[in-house]
Amino acid sequence: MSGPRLDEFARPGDAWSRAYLGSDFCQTLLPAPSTMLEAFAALRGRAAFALVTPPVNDAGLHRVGVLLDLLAAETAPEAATEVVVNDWGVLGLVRAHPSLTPVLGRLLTRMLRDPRLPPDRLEAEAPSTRALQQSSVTSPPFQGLLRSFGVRRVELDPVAQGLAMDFDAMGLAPTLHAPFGYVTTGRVCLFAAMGQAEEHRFEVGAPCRQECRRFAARMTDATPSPDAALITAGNTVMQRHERSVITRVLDALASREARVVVRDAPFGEVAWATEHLPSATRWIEEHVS
Amino acid sequence: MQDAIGVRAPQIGIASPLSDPDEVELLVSNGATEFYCGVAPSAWAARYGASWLNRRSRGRANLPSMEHVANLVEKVHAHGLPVRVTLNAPFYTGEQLADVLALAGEITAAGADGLIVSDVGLILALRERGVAADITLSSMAAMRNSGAAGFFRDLGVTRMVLPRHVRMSEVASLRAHLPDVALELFVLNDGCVYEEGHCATTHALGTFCLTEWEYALDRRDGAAPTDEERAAFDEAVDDYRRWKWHVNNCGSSFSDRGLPNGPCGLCAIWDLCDLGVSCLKIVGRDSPTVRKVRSLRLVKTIVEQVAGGGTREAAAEYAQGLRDTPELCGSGFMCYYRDAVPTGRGPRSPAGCSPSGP
Repeated sequence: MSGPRLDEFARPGDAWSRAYLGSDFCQTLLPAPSTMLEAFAALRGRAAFALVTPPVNDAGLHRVGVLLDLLAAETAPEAATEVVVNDWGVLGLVRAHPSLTPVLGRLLTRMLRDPRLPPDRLEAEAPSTRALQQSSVTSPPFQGLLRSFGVRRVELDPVAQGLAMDFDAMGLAPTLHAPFGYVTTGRVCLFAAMGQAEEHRFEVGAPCRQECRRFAARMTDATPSPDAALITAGNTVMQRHERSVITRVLDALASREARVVVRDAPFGEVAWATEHLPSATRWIEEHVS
Repeated sequence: MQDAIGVRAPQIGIASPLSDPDEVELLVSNGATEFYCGVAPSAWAARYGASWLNRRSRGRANLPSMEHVANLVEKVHAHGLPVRVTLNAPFYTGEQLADVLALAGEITAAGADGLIVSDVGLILALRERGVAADITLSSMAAMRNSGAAGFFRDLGVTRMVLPRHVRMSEVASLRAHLPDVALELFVLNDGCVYEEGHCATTHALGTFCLTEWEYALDRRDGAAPTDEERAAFDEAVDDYRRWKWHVNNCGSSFSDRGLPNGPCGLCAIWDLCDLGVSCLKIVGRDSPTVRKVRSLRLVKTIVEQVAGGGTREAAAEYAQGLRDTPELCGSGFMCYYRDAVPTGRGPRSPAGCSPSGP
């Protein structure tokens, strides 16, 4: 399969000032160096660039290292090129490139994203509720570590239980993904099995033909809330959130530096971001029910 | 209970789950060389509800109080063995951190030999506060490359439990890059469908991944899937359900010989010894005592076989023969390390499993 192309998801408008390329979830989907450089060059002077990276093994770490070397060589400091990291090993690599800005990805901004959490039964102002509405980044030692690695921006998903974190007070800038939030992910992939010999199905690291770039599957069951729109997209379960949930979370962010990242597909490897919240709100109103 | 397995103690350790002080004698006599346990004080549950103190807070997985922890530590230490305590929730919030730190202090004061932790904030806080505890990185940290291993080593972690979903070649790479880091590897029981360290659901609401989902296939280009595509997907889904059953301890079953079925790395013990892995982890704090005992016997038997000079192939063949479930082993769906099941002849007795005792 060919890698992601920027025209997979057209830029929603001029206010969408940054393109994201890559996957938060799967090492197999790391873009080829030529794909990344092509996208980076196409954006030059038009929009900023963020390379999204997944958790990796040592072979993947080497591949990410090659991408970062190339990206850093092409990046002028004023370009504000970002690397979204979902692996502590990758964060260490980014630190070696001062022209690249690390962003804490959703897999490291840990919090509960369980679609079964019943928001209508949460007790307001209770510690048990706050624990569901906050993430690992509220821990002061964690914040200190982020500062030491030059991380100022952290990525989040919409969650039905809502968010209760003061990002300005923490000295962090929040990024909200919409409308698809991740629920769970792993190294075993239902779609990879479509193209694998029987003896390699569900084997970690077995060769993969990237069927996730062609297919996804809606999931249904009586257990989660009836309106939980769950989708298996590659190795990851995503939830398509309703507009009301996204809007409520966005309002709760109340940060001067809030950013919204949108995708048109749950496993889209191209996304667009804006810090102009009226534009984000308009996109959400037009595309999310 | 009689130790029916052998006499030579190999260098590689066997970490057994422990949830009741009364299990200690039995588990020691069946091969445990170290223990891990959890605690779930009622005050934590009352305050934080579904945000559990550690990954498994339901039922009998945890000790109910610090008094029980102290009692358990005393019993384990009477055998000269160590016990570590899990504080391995995927994360703790800033508000929770003070409560976890207080508990960590109590656990250390009770004499526990270390803490099993995944949250970076907690690891840092333990060091900042000077809590004198050895820190083992939990599999919940989902650490799988040498860069991340170096990151955690620099934070003061002394041992790392690798995630369930890892290839033997990846273990070898980690050993090669960081020979000074002690590694602990899963060897028996309780798989996960997803990567538990990256799973944002909570078991407090039931096990999300074991839900019997119905799937409706879509093509991303918006066209209707062809009949061939639907057939390939349906076949994959059928196999996926079978795989999930294996991951879930084959329906929590035992073989006809009374040995526990489920996720298994017995065939890989030769390789794990060869790589110098420090410890083999048996999963199942919430398992009945009988499952813990039989799991220990299985693992100890293979470790002794390897230490006794068996080849890689002989050890794997012996491991599969013990359980005598060719239909389960043959599927590969139970294997923790499918890439380690030997296909050719290898050398005898890896150095990591040479006997350390008389």
